Amino acid sequence: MKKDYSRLIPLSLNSSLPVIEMTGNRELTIEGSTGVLKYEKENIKVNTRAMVVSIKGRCLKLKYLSSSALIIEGTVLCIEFIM
Amino acid sequence: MLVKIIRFIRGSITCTAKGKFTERLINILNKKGFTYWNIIPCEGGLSFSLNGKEYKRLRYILRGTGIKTRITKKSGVPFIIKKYRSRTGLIIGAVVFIALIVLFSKFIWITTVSGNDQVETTKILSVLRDNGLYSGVYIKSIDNKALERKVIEEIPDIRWISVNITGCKAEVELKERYKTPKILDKKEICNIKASKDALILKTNVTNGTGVVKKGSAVVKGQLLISGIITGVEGGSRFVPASGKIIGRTTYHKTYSLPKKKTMVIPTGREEERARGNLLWFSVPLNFNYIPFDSYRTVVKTDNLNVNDVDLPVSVTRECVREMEKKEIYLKENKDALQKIARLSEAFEFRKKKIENRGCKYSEDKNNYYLKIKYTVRENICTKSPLMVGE
Repeated sequence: MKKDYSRLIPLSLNSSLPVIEMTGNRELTIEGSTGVLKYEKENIKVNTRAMVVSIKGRCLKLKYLSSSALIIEGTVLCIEFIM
Repeated sequence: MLVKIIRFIRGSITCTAKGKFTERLINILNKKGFTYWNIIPCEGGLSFSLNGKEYKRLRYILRGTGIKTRITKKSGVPFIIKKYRSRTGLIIGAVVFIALIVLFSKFIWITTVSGNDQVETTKILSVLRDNGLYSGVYIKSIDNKALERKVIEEIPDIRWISVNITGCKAEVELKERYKTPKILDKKEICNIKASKDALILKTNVTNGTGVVKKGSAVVKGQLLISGIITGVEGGSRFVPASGKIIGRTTYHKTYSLPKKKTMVIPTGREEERARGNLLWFSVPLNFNYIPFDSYRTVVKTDNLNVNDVDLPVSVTRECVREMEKKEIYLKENKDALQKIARLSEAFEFRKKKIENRGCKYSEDKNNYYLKIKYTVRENICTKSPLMVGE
């Protein structure tokens, strides 16, 4: 029987999963992003390796963007994970 | 702030991108290493800013992607230079302006003096000028310590001076020397005698023995206050006599005015010349010819004054008036004679009070005369050494 060793690795070290950090509902940092799929004031979709993160809110804006991380500013109302 | 300054120097372009899936643009900008900022979603696309030089590369990359960009705003130094590139005069003017600012900041513009009370500011400025500190002097040529030393040597009333140069301004601070009061030699034994013939009006003896009384008449040289005090028990001692004896005296003065006088008077013709001055530069503003043989020049300099400070930018106006010699025959002028008399009185009877003036006018072949008899109230005391036998 094949053993699932991935269970033994801590989740934070699993590089395929994005790390999401929020400051209230005003600022949201996503580490491990691979690109922006949708960019509107009410909805931003960010592609990561494991899933697509859809952020809904008001006056959303990309504050910072690099090849592996981004910061979204605005009023975040809803976060949806699309697998 | 620093980032904004760098962006302004390098120049930036704000543009809008429209087309299908404009989100791809963000990923392209990111992957291709563009420097971009301020991405805002707008109707049908998004707007963003990027470095001015990178815009052409972006247009090339976006070819065939269906995304079209349009510049909405250009800002920064390269675009300003490009805008005014054809106006070379403006650029030269700006360069000359900066050069002049740099050049003129190397010279002294204003010299201020503070801390003086008895010594006049003009005297201090004059000495400073003689020793190399004046408007227009090169700042690095000033040796503060040597200058301070020389000023103290030349003006003994100054006990401390400091020359501080702040930018283009020389601030001179100083302290004056305290004058030691004259100490009376109390051991100097003397009498007080009358300096003029007078009628005594008031006596005030502070030391010594009063010899005269109110209402008595005295002649010049008569003893008024004796320096010998005789005690009750018969002994006597010598003291420096002092006091104030007010007496009524008379003076006779004669003032004259010649009947014929040679005077240099203006003919009424005049010419004006002006010069503009900036630091040590002086430029004539007009070239008026002076056709007069004999003339008098009145020079007036108006300095540019900002905030009660005279700047070394001035206009000097010279008014050249033609003069001629004329012999004038004066009629009897009582007012003129009286004015001469008043002027003389102002100096001669400065510490005396004139009680009465008796005027009498007369004339001879050449002059008009005013004879005045003054009755004056004055202190007639004069010190006289106490002689043996007095």
